[in-house]
Amino acid sequence: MIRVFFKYIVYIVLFSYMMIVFLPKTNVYYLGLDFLKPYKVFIVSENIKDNSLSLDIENLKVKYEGIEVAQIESLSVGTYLYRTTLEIDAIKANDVLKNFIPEYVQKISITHNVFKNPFKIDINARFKQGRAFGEVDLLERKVMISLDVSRNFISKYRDILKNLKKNGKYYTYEYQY
Amino acid sequence: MESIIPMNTNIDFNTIIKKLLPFMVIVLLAMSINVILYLFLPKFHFDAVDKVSKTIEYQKYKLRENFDENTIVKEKKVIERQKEYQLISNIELQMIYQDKNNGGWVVISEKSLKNSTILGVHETFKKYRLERIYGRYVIFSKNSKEYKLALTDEDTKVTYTKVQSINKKTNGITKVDDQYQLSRKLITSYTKDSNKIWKDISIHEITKNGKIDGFKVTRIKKKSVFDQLGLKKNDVIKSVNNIQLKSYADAFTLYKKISTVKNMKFTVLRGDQEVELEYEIK
Repeated sequence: MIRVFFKYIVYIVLFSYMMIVFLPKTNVYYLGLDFLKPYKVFIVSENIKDNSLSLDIENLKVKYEGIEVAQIESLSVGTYLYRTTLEIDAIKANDVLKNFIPEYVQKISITHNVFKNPFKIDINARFKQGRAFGEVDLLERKVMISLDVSRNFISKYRDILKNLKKNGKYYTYEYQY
Repeated sequence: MESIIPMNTNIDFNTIIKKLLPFMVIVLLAMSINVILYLFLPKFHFDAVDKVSKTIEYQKYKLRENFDENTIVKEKKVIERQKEYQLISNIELQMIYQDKNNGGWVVISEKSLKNSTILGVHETFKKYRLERIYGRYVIFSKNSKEYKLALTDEDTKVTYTKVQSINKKTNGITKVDDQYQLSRKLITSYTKDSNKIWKDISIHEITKNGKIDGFKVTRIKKKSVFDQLGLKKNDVIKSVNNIQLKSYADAFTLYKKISTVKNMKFTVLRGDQEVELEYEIK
């Protein structure tokens, strides 16, 4: 009985892996871009690499209504079934936006790990004047992000930080979707 | 005696295939599903092209200037030379003070009297209205007729002066005939460091039926550049160079292109009144 159970588990895992390997990831990415169209967000990229278990995109330009709002050096989406990651490296915001968001974000990492907690997605970001970390609670449908930032950041983005809750040394942001 | 080596060539392919078959079926199934999926997915994507249909280049149509630059102008100039002005015999032109905008003033006197009078453009002397100032003569008008008055003495001094010297100039802003001139340097200093803008001014979007319908000035620093430009607190900036500000993208477009424009016209809602603020960038 157990043997049969394991046999089917192996079949399911293999099927899932094969689905990921053969998935036309570039085309799925194009479909994703189509979903962004109604929001007037366009992403232009130079190089798209369809790997067996991941999709790597390099030199992205994010445009809103034709205006370039940010440049991203690389974006990578990968999955090993139990662990799915989205990693965004080197985000440079447009000069206009630098008063609202950090002008240079070194890395944003969004991870879902089934073994860690299947109902939570971890968010981590690192930028020049500090870091941000948080999670998406899939059960409570809640996004929670905390900011651990330097004094420079606090004085520069004082107006924005006013909208966040001060929780010890962190500034926290909560959003229910 | 021949030795018999037992060879176990009895490989059970049936068993192997039987064992591998489910895996092969799984791989083929996954592949087939993805092939079908591929047929329905977009094969390419038109990347966002830099089609910035909105331009904030504002053309200021000055009929007079257009004439000056075209061939028609040349004809006009000829006509002007050929035009015979009536001369004023009882007034003497002593001095011309001309600025770069064809404005200025003149010193005139009645021949019978020795008292001199200083007269600016569009001012009247003995029912003669000073219309235009040229290098060595001026044009007056009286009862719809034009009169020419030239300098009599060759040694009489004609003075040219820069506009800036007779106008108030502060921090790259010059006010000329109720119109502001902004220096390109001033504009560049703001585009290079956008923090400077937000130190001097705060704006907030105004929405109408869920859509942005202009940007309201919520704070303006006294004696700042924006204050000197005539913007006031509670003004609602509706459009720039006739382009309506209906989204942040419109505002970004303006910000990106501002360093290249020559003229700017702000349409502002002040109370119930629509006010236009014009600036020339030099």
